Amino acid sequence: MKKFLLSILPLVALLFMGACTPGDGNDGAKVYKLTVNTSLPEAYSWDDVTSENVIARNQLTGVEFAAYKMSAGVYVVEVEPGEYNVNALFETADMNLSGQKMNVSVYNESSISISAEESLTSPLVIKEFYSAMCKTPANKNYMYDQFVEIYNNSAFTQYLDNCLLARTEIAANTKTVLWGSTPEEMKAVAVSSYVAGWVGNGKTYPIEPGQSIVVAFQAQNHTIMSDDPATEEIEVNPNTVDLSKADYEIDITEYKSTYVANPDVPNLTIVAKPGTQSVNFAVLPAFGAGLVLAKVDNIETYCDVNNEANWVAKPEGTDVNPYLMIRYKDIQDAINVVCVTETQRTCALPAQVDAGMIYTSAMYNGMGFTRKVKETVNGRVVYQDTNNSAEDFEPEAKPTPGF
Amino acid sequence: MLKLKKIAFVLSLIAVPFAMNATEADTTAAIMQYKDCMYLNNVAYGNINPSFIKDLPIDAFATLEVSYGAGKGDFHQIDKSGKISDLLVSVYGVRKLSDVSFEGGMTYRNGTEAERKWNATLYQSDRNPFILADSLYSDYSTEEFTLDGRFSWEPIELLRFGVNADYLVGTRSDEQDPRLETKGMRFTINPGIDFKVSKFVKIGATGGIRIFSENSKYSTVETGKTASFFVMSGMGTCMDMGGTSYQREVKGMGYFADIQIFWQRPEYGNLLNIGFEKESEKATDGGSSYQFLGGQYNNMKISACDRFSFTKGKFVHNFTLEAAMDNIKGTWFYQKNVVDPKTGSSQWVVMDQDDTKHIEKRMTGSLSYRMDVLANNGQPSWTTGVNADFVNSNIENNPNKYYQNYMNVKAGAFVKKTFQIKKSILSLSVGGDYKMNLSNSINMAATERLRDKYTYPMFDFTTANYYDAYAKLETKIPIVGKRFTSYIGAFAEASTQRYIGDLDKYANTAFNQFGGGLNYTF
Repeated sequence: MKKFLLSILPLVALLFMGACTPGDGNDGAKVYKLTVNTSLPEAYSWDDVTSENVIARNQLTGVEFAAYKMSAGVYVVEVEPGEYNVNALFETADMNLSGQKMNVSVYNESSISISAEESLTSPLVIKEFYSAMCKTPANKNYMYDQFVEIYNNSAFTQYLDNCLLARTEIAANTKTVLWGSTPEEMKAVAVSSYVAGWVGNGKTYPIEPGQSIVVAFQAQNHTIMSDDPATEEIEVNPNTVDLSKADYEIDITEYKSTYVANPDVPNLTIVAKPGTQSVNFAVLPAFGAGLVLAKVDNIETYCDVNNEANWVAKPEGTDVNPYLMIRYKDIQDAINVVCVTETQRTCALPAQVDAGMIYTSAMYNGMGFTRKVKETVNGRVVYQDTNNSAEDFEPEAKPTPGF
Repeated sequence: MLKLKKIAFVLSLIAVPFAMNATEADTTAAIMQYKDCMYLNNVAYGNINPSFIKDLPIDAFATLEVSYGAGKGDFHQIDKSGKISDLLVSVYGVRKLSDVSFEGGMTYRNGTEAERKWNATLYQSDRNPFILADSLYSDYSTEEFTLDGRFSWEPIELLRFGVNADYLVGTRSDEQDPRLETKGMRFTINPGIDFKVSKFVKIGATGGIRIFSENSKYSTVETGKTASFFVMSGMGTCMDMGGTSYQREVKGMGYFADIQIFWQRPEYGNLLNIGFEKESEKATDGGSSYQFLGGQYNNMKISACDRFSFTKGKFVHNFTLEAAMDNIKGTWFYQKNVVDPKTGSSQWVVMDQDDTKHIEKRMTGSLSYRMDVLANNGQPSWTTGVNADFVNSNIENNPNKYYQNYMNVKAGAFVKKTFQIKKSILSLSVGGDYKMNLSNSINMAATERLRDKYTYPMFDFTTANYYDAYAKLETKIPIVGKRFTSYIGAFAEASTQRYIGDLDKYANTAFNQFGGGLNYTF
């Protein structure tokens, strides 16, 4: 027996020592190489590029993987298996170039191609917007106080005629995008709900350099609005804003009987109603979507539902209704507004329109976004516009509509 | 009819210990100090092989206990509460017949945990990295019921059989949005056998299964209010599956086998136990609406324990050496949400999987020595001991190769004096431990959302240095009746665990606990 014990104890010791050997079994982490072949517009060469950044963002986890360069225009990013949005951003001395590929499935070694284009910048920018909405003192969701402030960031007078405000059909909480991803399809984005705009003669709605206008969904003093339209009780809500002096409002009385219009504030024209209309808010849902400010040649002709070139049904899925498509080249400014929840961060807009995304820390928290100041030129404030909302905006800002 | 007989048999296993009274052969001293008595007189006491309970030194007794404990303080892990309370009601008993011995008990626990967050699990393995969590403080209530029983049968002198069964079921819930309700169950059953190979040596073996099931469900009553539900995948890497509700079901199964070499002479005894265990837990989220796999935890564990005991005069010496190695691998399933264009319904489809998403190699060990000085009644009047524990853990989280490594040691000592006051006893125990981190390292990208809120704080506590001290006063008073003697007891205890490191957030923090209870033994 003694011999047996003497023999088994060293065996037990060996068993433990063997189990503690470091390093074994750790080499099988699942990582795949995604090769990203990029190209530049004809007017540019790789010698013009002063900085480059290629990133793959996991749609489910939000984790970003940076690529390393193999040769001019060829990058490799090592990612865990999943669905990705891939952004390619290049800087030249006088222009930013960007491209994006959405819904890239990586479950083995694979490659994609991205064509970078000139990033859009324009004189009209969204200076501030508020879409998260707020809570009433009774802790109910209050959904009538959204607004967008548009600013002339240039040194010349601009005109809002033929400009439109819209939200993308793809909301931030969309699980599966049914608009395809071919280059032809990716030249425009579908919008839905209410599309509101300025119908004029081309010079009806001027906006001077350094000036802004506020578009309210409902131009009321929301701090003293009745929470329940059926009652006359007024409660003070410090969580919201006074929009009674907004420059424009989006009157949807025709579609929602409980909407309270402000007769002293001019209305934008509802120029299109693609898809399903939101009954409680005009601009964005609380969980986010793409916010689009575009300027077309003729807003009435462009948005006419009989204009089949601009109204397209989803190439996939069961929804056969046509949606108004806004061409990227017409977009003045656009922002990917998403939710703090990572699974609700589908970006509807490509990098050439907005290379970033932005969100508040919670829905209905009464917080908005304000654009950062870049510089002041002869007393005129110039706001930062790098085409990346994550860089250009201060998130979680108390709304301060500039009347 | 056969089924009824089986049920009656199982119930009898549970009921017998409590239905029997102590026989006159049992000494008053042995029953009043039954925990010490059973430890000192059976070197296999507490072993997982149920056949060894045939060697219990007391023929029969049962005890009923009601106790209450509470704790408060800022020195605690971030997924634990800083204010807890527990009400416990338990019964426990043993009974030996000529060829069969029984041991078993039941426990009911009603506990509260104030301001707790970051972990929705109840009985899921502590080493399982795939937990569900939220980041909002909640006040939890937990109700728990345990039932355990075992018997040993000696049909012939050379051979003994036994069966052990443990059942644990409980519910944890809170009443604040997002409301969590977690229901869990663990069940273990293992038959055992030991064989007498010589006059002083027995060889034993046991093997069994562990069944685990847990269901966590978040819901929100207030409309429009959403929360973040974190689907964790190790070291705080996560997905935020936010919304108004979330549901997870975890099912697990484990197998284990242990062999024992038992050697007993009148003054010497030794038990060597070598164990192997394999367990798995798999999470499925979403309930009936969809199914998303939340990770699979696999652990292969080997362990060894040796206890050596010898008696010389009034002195009883016990040396115990334990070591265990956990080899943990967490599998993550890469899934894609696929929408059926015809129906519009979506489902998650597994596209790939990584069996090395989370790897942990963990080794634990302990060495202890206990010395008892026996009084004339054969039970200890003095008990003292020292112990040293260590744990070494190496974790890697992929594909980013995040890692966290640490080695902790803890040394402790205790002393217990039992006073004989007429026929009653009064015991005073005091002890303390000193825990020290010998080495640690951690690496995680700053871009990880929960790195500073969860991963680093968890690691800070795991590697924190502290000391603890405790004291316990207990008494037992015999009540001599006409037919049998029973015993009424009471105890009070208090402990404190105090941080002694350099982190500002834990500076001058402690976790203090106190408790007390009454028991009745017969």
